[in-house]
Amino acid sequence: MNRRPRPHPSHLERELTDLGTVIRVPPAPDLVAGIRTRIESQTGRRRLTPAPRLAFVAAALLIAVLGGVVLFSTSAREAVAGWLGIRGIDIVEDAPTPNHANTRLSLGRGSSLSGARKLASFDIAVPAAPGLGRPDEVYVAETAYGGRSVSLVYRAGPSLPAAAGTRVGLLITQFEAGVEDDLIQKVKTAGVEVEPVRIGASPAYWISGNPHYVFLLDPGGGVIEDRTRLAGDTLLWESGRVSLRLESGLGKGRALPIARSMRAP
Amino acid sequence: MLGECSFPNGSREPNVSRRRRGLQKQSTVGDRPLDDAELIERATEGDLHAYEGLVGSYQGIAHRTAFLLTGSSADAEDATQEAFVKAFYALPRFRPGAPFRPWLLKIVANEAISRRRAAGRTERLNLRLTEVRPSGGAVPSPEAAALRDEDRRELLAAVGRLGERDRLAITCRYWLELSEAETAEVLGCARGTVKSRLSRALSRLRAAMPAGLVDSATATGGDPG
Repeated sequence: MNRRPRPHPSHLERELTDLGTVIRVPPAPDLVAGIRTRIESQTGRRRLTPAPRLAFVAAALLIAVLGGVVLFSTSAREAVAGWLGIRGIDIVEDAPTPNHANTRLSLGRGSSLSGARKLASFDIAVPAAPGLGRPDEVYVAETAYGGRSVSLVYRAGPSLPAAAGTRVGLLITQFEAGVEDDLIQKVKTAGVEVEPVRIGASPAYWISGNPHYVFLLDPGGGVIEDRTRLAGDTLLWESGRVSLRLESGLGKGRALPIARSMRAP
Repeated sequence: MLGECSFPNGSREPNVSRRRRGLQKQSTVGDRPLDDAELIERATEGDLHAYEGLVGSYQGIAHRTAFLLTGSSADAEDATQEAFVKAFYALPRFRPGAPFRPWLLKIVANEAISRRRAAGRTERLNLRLTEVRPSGGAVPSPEAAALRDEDRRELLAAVGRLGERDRLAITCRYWLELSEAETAEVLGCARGTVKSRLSRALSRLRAAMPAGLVDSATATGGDPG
């Protein structure tokens, strides 16, 4: 850490405002006529709302078919619906049954690690902790805002106790999203404890107690709401532009070293 | 996509038949130009001429927003045009009396970010400084001016290394000089969240900057601040 006294925020803010005045921005083209032409041609050939409606229903169905890793929160639902001009359409949420994970974890499409690496727009990290090796299963899903999440599944074994009600010993899900302190507050519900910890230099949260939802911030600003898949405890942290969630029945003492061993290629 | 879109819960369907009838050339009342609220009301009813008035007023800041978020002239132009088209169709859900600028810029930002993402661009934004320095304050010596330009480039590069959401907050608040409330609307979050996000972004920025650079940038600046 730098021990120099940091400048008052207003200095930096002033510098940023000043910087904004000297960034080279090309002259704005006159788009009036082009926009008008676009609107006239679109209005002339179709009604305005059915196409997005169909697209949205198709997208919703696709998400349902894929297992619906991401559940639409009320705000996200409204955002997407409002965006497509169909505010008012309801998306049926997955039944919140995070403690029956052995039947279905709803993790998305099965893939391989190399396949997932091609699909994801971020570097997928894998734990280097001894005894874990490569994940047994890999899944890729799409988030509500078009990003991807990747889940690494480690089956339970002699050194990896199964999370309650499942045959999964460890589940690590990576999202292209951020962890926000404000949103962590939403996790704190009845029967859920949130303890701040650290993974390297990053703040992290050890979440224990009842099954719960986590809220992550999509790079574009949307809130991704995702429920835990295992009944175990959760470790949640951010690494670069990726949020990582580790679920297991291992307890904090074993989960933290695994998280700290995560390495991207 | 930007989340928590604050489109008001309007229920009017776009008036397609009126749109198809085309222009109603009435963007003035007598000699008085229509204000935003009147233009929006008419555009919502299908008056393309009124919408042209809105496009004319806001295309400058819309394009600037898109360029600052994409760093590409072509992407900025496409995103701006697409955003205005989408905004036209979204007008029935615009809450009458609400400020139009942040509502529009949210759509623009969304388009710009989506475009950059769809193109798979993960490299830093290619923003550059203009050669022209703004006037104001004491004229710095050539050495001081050169040092200040270097500091600015460092700061610009540091912003470029920030995550997408931090950069969006910085762009809105400092480069577009939107108010906190407007920034909140563009980002689709509460004002308190804007504050905390900006605070965090500034911390990251300070941490990412070479030691002392912000101090020296401030100290050597011609801006009396």
